[in-house]
Amino acid sequence: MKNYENYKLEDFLLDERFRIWAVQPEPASDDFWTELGKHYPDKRMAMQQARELLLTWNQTGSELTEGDLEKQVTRILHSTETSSNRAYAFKFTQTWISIAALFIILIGLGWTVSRKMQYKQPASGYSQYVPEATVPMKEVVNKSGRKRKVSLPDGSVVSLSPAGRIRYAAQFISNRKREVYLSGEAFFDVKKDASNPFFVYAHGLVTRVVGTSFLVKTTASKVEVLVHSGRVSVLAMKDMDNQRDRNTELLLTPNQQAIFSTRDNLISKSISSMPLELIKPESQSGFVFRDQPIHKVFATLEKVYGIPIVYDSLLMEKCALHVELSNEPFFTKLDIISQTIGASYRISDGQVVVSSEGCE
Amino acid sequence: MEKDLLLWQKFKNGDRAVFEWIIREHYRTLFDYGKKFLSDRDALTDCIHDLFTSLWERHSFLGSTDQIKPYLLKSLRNRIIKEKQRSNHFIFMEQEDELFLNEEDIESKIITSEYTEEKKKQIGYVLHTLTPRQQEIIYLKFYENLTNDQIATVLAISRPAVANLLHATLRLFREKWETLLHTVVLFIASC
Repeated sequence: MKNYENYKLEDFLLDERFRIWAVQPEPASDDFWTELGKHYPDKRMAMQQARELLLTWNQTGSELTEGDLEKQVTRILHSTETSSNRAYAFKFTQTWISIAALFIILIGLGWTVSRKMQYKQPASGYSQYVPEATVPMKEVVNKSGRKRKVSLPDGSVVSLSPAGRIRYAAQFISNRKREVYLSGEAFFDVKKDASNPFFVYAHGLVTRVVGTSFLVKTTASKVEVLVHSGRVSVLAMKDMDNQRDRNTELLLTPNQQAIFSTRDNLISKSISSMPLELIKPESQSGFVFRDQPIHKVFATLEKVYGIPIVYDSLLMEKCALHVELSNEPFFTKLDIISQTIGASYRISDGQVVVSSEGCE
Repeated sequence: MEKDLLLWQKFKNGDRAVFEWIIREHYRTLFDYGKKFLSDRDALTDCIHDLFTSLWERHSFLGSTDQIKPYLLKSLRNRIIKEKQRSNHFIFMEQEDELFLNEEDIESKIITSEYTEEKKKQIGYVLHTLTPRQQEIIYLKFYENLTNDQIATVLAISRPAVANLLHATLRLFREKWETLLHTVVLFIASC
């Protein structure tokens, strides 16, 4: 035991154990410091003062609002962005009447690429998918330099990025469908209406909202659809009318991603490069694992991120984890876990597949 | 920290998701710390912006670190000092020690917390009588909860020097606080 006899205020302040207790008292540490106060009554005053100081210093408010923070982060990301390597920061809100759906659609911009595409695949341009003007259509083009909000007749809201373009029928709900044709980039806030599903047509891919929120990102050679919540189905446009042979239709769950190749009309399933937490971990300790069997660790990750993790539970029965994780990205968590237990993983068909030779 | 080492490695490899995560994770800390040196909000956000964009530009040439937060704090600190020296060049060269400006800052922070007003004022008052360097080390240790090693990185001094400075600063703080409490007690007694 340390010698507390000569402890003064500053010594308590610099004592690691004392600091932890002052900020986060636990029964065990409570007992320890109460006992100490009984043992050295003359130290009680210094302990009390040290605790007050630490608590005061610990509750510091920041001048920066969430909105300012978001603005600054976006600004940095924007300045560091290159055309081939765009990262999107997106947030969506969910209210009880509307399910926020967000799709960001990027149509490939490279001049030569798009020229080539037009020759090769005459059916892949935006104009090709806009239906013949047999019904009155409305078109909105954002020529400004800022995002522009467009309210659709059903109450859904589209946030159209610069140079983005959408078209939809003036009689918006028809044949029990709500349909939007898109080029450029847009953010959709779709009002829930189960009897009239919402369709987005972009670059050869149809994305159908089953009651959900998701992201669509389009380049000349591919379309990416990333699900945030609920379920989304994606289907190659060419198979749209083929009711019996919908073999390209894929159902996606949160944090899963479909990559559609416009070249061969194939859709493959993957995982978002930065999966979001869908729910908070159930237990109080969150991602802090103290000697937890591996199946519990994987179960927590599966639940929070909604991504299936496949592993040999028998082989890995003895694998236990003692590691403190918090809010690092999903794949960093996986890296840390697999390094700790000497396993490896790969992504296959929207799942994480863990390989391990077992633990002793 | 192993986690930081791994994240930094991914960032160096050009991982945008990790870059964004690093910005989100540390922006507020950098802002709050920078505010102590630079009261001009716009100049400060520009500084932080430039810090991150220059990191991104040089990401593949950066060395490795397992201490992301102290590394960022140190880089911001250097940036602000350089910026200040540049803009004040014709007037006078500021002493590094005079940079930790915080007239109302620490006080207002403390007042917004839940502790009794009187106590908070006392603590703020005592803090003000310390030198900027002493205030800064208290800030890094207790507001930002950095370890002595991390403080050594930020301030570019040795670890024993940090321990020394911290202990001396806190002793001085206690002595001043005791004097103040004593005065207050005497004052009440004499009423």
